Amino acid sequence: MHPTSLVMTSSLITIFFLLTFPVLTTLAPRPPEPTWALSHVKTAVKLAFFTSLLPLALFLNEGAETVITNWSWMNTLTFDINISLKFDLYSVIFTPVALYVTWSILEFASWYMHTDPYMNRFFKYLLIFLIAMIILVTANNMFQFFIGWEGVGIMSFLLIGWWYGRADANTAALQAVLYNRVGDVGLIFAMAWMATNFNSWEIQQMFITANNFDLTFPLLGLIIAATGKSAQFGLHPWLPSAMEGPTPVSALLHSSTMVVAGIFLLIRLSPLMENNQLALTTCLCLGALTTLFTATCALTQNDIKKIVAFSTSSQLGLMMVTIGLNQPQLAFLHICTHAFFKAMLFLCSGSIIHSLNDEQDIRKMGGMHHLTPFTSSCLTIGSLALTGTPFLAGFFSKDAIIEALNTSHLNAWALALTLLATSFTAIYSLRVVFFVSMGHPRFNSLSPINENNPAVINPIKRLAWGSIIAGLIITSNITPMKTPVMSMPPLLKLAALIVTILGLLVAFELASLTTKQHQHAPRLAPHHFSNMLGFFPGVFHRLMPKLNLILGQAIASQLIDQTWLEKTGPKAVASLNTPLASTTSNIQQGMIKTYLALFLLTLALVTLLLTS
Amino acid sequence: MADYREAPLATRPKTLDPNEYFNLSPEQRRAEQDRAALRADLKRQYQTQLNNPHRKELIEDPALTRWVHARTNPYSYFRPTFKTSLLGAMFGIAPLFGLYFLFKTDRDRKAQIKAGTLERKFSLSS
Repeated sequence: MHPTSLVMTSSLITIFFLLTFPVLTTLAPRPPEPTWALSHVKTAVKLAFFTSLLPLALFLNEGAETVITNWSWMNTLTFDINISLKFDLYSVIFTPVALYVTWSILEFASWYMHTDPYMNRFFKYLLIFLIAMIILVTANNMFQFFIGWEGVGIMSFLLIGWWYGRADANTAALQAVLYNRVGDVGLIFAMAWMATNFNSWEIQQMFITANNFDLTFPLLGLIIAATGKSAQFGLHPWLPSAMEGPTPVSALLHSSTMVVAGIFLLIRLSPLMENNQLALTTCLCLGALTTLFTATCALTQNDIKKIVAFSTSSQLGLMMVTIGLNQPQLAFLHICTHAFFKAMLFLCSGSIIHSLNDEQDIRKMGGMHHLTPFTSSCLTIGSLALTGTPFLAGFFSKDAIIEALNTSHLNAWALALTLLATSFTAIYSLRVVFFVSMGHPRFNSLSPINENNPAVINPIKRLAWGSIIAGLIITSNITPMKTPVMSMPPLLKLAALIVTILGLLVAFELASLTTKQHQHAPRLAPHHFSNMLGFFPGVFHRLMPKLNLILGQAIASQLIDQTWLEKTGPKAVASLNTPLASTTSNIQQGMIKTYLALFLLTLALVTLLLTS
Repeated sequence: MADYREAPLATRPKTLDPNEYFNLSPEQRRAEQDRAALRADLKRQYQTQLNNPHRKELIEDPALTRWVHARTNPYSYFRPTFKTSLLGAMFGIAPLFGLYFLFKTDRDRKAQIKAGTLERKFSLSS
């Protein structure tokens, strides 16, 4: 057998075995040793990362992509469900990225959660999540994809509600599950449509048979699935609420890997979407609305994790816009670069939160640049990468997206919203950096703040390297599948940069106002709108249950069942029959002798009449 | 109170309406006093029961009892008004006809397809 395919398939199967082995060791009745988390799990992920570099190298060198069909699971005469793993451009690049980020997060979590009595279980959950994510990414058929999809949803629930004694955490976990479920309806509908019309769930067969069909309905179902999983507008409130989980969970799930599953679905099935203008326009408008709305909400939040969560949601909206532009590869590039700097932002904020004794409000931080210079520098690097500073990681993806948006014959409204959201990104990033690392500390110096622990510094350092060079490395080595527009007016080329700089200037101006004791009215409408998250959770989380309860209790039960149906049913029968019965019984006055005499008289008369 | 300004689309609350303070008729004031007397009486009864040192049971609220009784026996308090009959017609009678119409149309179309008599007009896209 050719060595390339041999190495490719064996290294990919090795990755799966390396990741599942630590989970299997927990099934033994012997309790694991206290350092199991570090010695087994982190080592497994590190080894898996280095193993996954082999297929990446083979892919970059020879363009080798494989589809491994491992096991025929359920096969009928007409429909096959196999375990088949597809290692093409997307999964071969995403797997090392995800493993690298997870390796750093696990090392960080060994410090962050070291006082937790169930740290081993925490690491096991993270590992199961990672396995589900890799299953999702490498799936070649919709059934396997669905397994991974549900797996990441369940692990998200378990990990958000990690501190289950806290009512807010339970509510947030339940909210995540419910919103994801609503999205799953779309996915299951799309899968059912594909099974009945394409007669297969294998991706290759679907792409071939798709040319003869009108794909609007399944594509809308897939877009609904992406709305649920990737927190687009309408199904977005679970993502900020998911910050109730520990920071490693937020860093892994809700910034790098799980929330991109919806976008990844659309990228995987992008050949189906290429020719359907309705689906593309829906993605474009939905993404533009999401990115602006969540960026607006992020402007006035005071919890550092919530700001980063809204930032994640905004970038997800940007990825959705890219898909709407028919550029799945750019969206994928943004997924990979975004994983690095967003995970680093979360790790830096986790380190700061822990140093300040679990303080998450940025109004009570400050001056961290003098106290934790490395962490605040990496926070700044991450924020710069997020805003698309030239030649950092985010620039290669974000600027390319905005250039593509500028040069396409599309919705000017979507373009305006996206540019506005880009400037908002700069504003809230500067706000975070200003409140956290600049100025003087606004907290009591109760515990010594240090950066001595290598378990904290090394992950952040690795991710910082990733944030700086990942964009360059990935774009230099991947051939683009769609030709980008290279020549455009200078204003369009510099649009993203100009808008970002404008946002930074506005933010500087606003930040400098905080030192001048500027008195403003008690409640400004835009601030209130942004701070209350656009009133979306307040309205929808109360409106829908209230409507359901009114329809159920007031109308169906009380109005119809207990009153109208009573009135028209038994009571009407009673009210009709009672007069009849009472009249009939009132007529009988009990004069037996008279009745008997009349009866005998009429009997005699009839007998006489009949016989004569 | 002169500089209180309510939100643009909201109504002014009754307690901040100047008419409430300055333009009340003597009958309205008398009625308010009677209502306040009733409220004070109820409060006094409640306080008597609350501060009774020999009380072991819960203080019963007759208004709550009446409310619960009304909520559990809707028919005895039911009176057909415009609103209730409109809602009853909308949610009780209209679905009957609507669903009948929907199912009949669907079944007729399926029977026509089976018999081959359904007319399909030419259209380019489907």
